[in-house]
Amino acid sequence: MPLSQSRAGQVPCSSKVCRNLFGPVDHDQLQNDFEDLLRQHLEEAQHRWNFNFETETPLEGHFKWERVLLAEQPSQEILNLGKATSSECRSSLAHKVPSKDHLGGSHAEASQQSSEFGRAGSPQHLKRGQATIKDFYSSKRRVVRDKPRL
Amino acid sequence: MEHQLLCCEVETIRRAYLDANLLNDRVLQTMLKAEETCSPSVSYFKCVQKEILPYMRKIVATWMLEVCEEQKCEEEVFPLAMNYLDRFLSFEPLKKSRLQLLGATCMFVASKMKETIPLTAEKLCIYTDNSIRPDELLQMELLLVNKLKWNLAAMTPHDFIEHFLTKMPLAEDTKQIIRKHAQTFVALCATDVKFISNPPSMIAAGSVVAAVQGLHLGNTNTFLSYQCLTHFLSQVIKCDPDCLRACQEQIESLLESSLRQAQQHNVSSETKTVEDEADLSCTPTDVRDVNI
Repeated sequence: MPLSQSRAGQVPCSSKVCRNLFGPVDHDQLQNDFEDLLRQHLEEAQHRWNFNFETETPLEGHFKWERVLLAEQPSQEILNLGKATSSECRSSLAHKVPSKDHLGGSHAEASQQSSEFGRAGSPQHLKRGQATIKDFYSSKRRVVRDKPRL
Repeated sequence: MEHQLLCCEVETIRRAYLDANLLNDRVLQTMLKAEETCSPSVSYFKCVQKEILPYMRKIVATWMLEVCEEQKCEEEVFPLAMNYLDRFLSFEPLKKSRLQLLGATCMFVASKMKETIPLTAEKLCIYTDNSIRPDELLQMELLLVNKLKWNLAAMTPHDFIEHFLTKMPLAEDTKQIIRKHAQTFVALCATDVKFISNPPSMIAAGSVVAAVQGLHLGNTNTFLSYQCLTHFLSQVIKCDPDCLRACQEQIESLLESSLRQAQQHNVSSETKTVEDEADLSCTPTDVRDVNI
């Protein structure tokens, strides 16, 4: 399939495929709704993880959050989450006790949040004993897998 | 000596061979279990949506298929995008004026999942006649993946077709033509609301039977005779042979009505999708002759 070739060319805007199907989009209203819904998602995540993802502070709840200081502290650019390419979180946090009622179905949130924090797969070498968000999540996954055997 | 440049790039995208290790029973059984986890709700028009009606899904699906065809997307992109669209609509009421934004976003994500050179946000916005902006598409993307709980690797009927063909004792060129025709049927099914309730494995099996029937392959090969093939495939996907036959008949009647519609619209040159689709397959006349 000549995929790259066809993609390289400009989209012919005169093409009959270019069409608006259901009338004009209310851009301002759409923007407001997006903000509401994303805020709602953030609140749900905050509730589920008892963690304020905006201020990066733990809250009271099932999970016990613990600050871990890393040897290699990534710079402030991590604050710009959308462009975060560095692998570790600004203030990596790990928790000790995964509470059982949160185990089921938390996988999805895990990937969601790891993307919010930037990719956790670390090419950098971590000091032994230090934990990252990735460690936190993989330990959760291990617990889920082991559960039936117990 | 003169400098000469030789262009070694080929027209086609290079693909890996199908991995035989992934085309075995163990994987198929896992797929049959997994397909239920990513299936949309059948009744979302009644239970969730207030503005969106079944005919609107048809409109947006037809447009999405046209975009995928014009951009020569991989065959799986369109059915995967429709899976995302249906699943999103199963959870979240949406305004009619935003359905095209959702459709574009679903193609955007599905293309990233399945293609080496994915569709860009800018290009998709142009296809909406610039009624949406790239930043809106990106925000919608975030919303979509959140709603789908990041379960983006949904099964498509295409995944099952490969398994069926691997199990069938046929020559490679016969498999190729069955694959082509079946994929056309799969795309057709994805545009139609009636098929939301069918799991991908059923659509795949029904499409393969419809393809074999359309190509009259059962006359010369006993394995491909109607009874034998429906019996075989229903065992593979663990369903009642009658259910499979019902699905295949539904597919054939959808083809028939779509072709009739296309002929009516031919003069006004609108919605020629079905004909375009038929052109994708190697011998469109075969499919048509049988069904009209």
